[in-house]
Amino acid sequence: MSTLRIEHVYKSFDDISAVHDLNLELHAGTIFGLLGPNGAGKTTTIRMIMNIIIPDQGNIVFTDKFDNQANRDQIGYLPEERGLYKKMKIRNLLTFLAEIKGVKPSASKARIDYWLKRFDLIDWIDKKIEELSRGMQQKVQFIATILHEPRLIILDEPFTGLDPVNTDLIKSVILECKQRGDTIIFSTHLMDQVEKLCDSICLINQGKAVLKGNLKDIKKNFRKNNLAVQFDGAEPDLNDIKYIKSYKKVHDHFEITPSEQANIQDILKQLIERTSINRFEIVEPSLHDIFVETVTHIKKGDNDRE
Amino acid sequence: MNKTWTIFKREYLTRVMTKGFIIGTAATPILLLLLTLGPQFLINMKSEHASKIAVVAYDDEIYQDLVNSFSDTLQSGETMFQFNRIDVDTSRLDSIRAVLSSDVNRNTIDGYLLIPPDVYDQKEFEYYAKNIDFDLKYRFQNTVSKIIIDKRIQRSNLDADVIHTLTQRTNLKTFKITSSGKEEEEVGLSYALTFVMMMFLYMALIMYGMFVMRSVYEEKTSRVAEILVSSCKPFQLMAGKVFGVGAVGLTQYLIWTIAAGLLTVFSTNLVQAFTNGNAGFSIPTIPISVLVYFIIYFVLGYLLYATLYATLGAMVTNDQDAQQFQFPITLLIIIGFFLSFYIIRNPNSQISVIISMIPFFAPLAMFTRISTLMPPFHEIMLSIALLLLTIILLIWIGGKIFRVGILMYGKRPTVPEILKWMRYK
Repeated sequence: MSTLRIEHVYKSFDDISAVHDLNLELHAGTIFGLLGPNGAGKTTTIRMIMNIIIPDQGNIVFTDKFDNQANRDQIGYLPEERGLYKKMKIRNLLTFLAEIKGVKPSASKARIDYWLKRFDLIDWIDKKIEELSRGMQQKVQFIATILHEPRLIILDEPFTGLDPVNTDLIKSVILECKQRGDTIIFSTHLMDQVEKLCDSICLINQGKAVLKGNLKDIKKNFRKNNLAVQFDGAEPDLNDIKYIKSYKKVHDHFEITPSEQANIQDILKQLIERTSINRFEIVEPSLHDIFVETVTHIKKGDNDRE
Repeated sequence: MNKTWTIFKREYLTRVMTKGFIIGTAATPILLLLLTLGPQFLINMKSEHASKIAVVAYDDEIYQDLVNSFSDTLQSGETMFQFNRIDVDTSRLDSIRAVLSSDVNRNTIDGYLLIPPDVYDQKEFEYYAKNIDFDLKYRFQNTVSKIIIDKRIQRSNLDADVIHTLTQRTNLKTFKITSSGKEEEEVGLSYALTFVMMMFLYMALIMYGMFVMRSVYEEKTSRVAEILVSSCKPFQLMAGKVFGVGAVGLTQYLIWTIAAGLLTVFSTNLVQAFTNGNAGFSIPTIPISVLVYFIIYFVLGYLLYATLYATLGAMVTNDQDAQQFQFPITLLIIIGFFLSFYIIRNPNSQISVIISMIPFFAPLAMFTRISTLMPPFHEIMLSIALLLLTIILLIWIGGKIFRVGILMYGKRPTVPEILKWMRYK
């Protein structure tokens, strides 16, 4: 069930095209990774979703439970650079930020207590933001993002500067939100986080979506998986083996790229006939590799054209 | 509108609930009071020790009259001025003066008066001291001068009392005719009152305008703006801040007005009590209509300048730029303030009428006209209408710049860039 559709959206500032023909569909109860190098158009896209800037062309349509009139109130946004009123006490600040999202102070009081307890900040409730450590401030910022129980949560680099314990805490809250059916947009360039959390991604480069879809499908389609093989006995001559396009020795094992029409089982069979094997592993391309290859590939293409 | 209210509430409460606001609100009138009454109070304080003054007088009568005129006492009851007559003849004057000067230097006496024998014709006498006390100088001047005049009259065989009656001063009383036809006694105090109110308007426009600018600018640099504009329209944010700070200003001025009102009533009673109800003047009261116009022009002037300052706060990206770019706006207020000095003297001249119609100067200029000489009603209405139109225009333009500017970081925008911002959808 889709909650948000971005249809043929264009946005340019002066002569620079920030977003070019972007099409996306976000589903309830999924985590969506919005990836891209710096200046790719991620922030512009997010701002258009939040109705801060209006697309030159195209539509951004909230479907499902979203009421277009009040959609801003159903979005929780954690900006990359944290912003809180330094001179305000946690309690007053959170009450204010909930109220501006349409939650009355009488309703937000219990929720604030709940989240502060959960994030181990309850003793600090009447302390000013400027008295907190950076990590604590980030936790307050995260609470502010989800306090009004948004249906769409936009997180821009939520884990920077957090220790592993708090990272796991926030991760578990994000997964709870997903369970509840919320839609989560995760904008980052930390690929290992995306791989662990996201269901689907969109890689934007120079305002265009260059890669998008279900994360597993993307990995499957990106290129044939490589094989990592470690031999226990003598090393066979890999040139004799069918279906191997190329290979290279890496440290204690071989990295084998199978040919296009290869059958992995065939390769394994051939190897077993020749020697004993310690490790035979299908290696998925990491998102990191996909990101770097896709982006540099496009850059090369650009250079070719020039 | 609900969100504007939420922002307004936060802006107002976080400002009013600070120690800074409470102290500032309480301290300003106290400081003003101290500044105006303090010096007067210090001057009037009786000095702690007696002044020893030697008098070189050739004429015993002058000396006696002088001593009789200085009958002040210290708090202890001692006489304040201890005069000591030095009898001399002209030939020994130089040596006597040398002795007295060294006495002054050794602090055995505070000073000495030299009243020459030809004082009736010379029209001069002298006083020597380490410190020439301003107050004392005028007392000597007036007292001795009066003694000499009386002596001259006596010598001419005239009746001193008759002469005094004949030469009595005639005082000018001034009356102000108001539009309602009433005639009010005018003692120059309403002039001062106009000036004070002008000053208050001027201060409020600059001070609260700057507050708005700082507030917007801080929100932008601390990136709180990013969260706020994801929750409400930038325009609501701008409106909430402008009204919030404005309400803080109104609160502060209201407190001061009430305090001033109480003080006026209190001091009027005091004056009445001291003069048995025969005070030579009454403390002027501000007509209600002038007060109403004061509030109208305060609000309109504030809205105009706060919009400008808020737009500026959203445009700049660092402190230095903020300082630099606020100057032209502040200059507009300052020009308006100085033009009002011209208007206070020529409230109805062609130039004054024109100045009071220009929206950027109108809050100060038109209010000055109103409080000095009530201008025709249609002129006031025209200036208010022009002001309102300008405010709406500025809010419209400023809102567009604000919306883009509040989320722009990095380099300082150029004028063409700002013009482009205004065209963004």
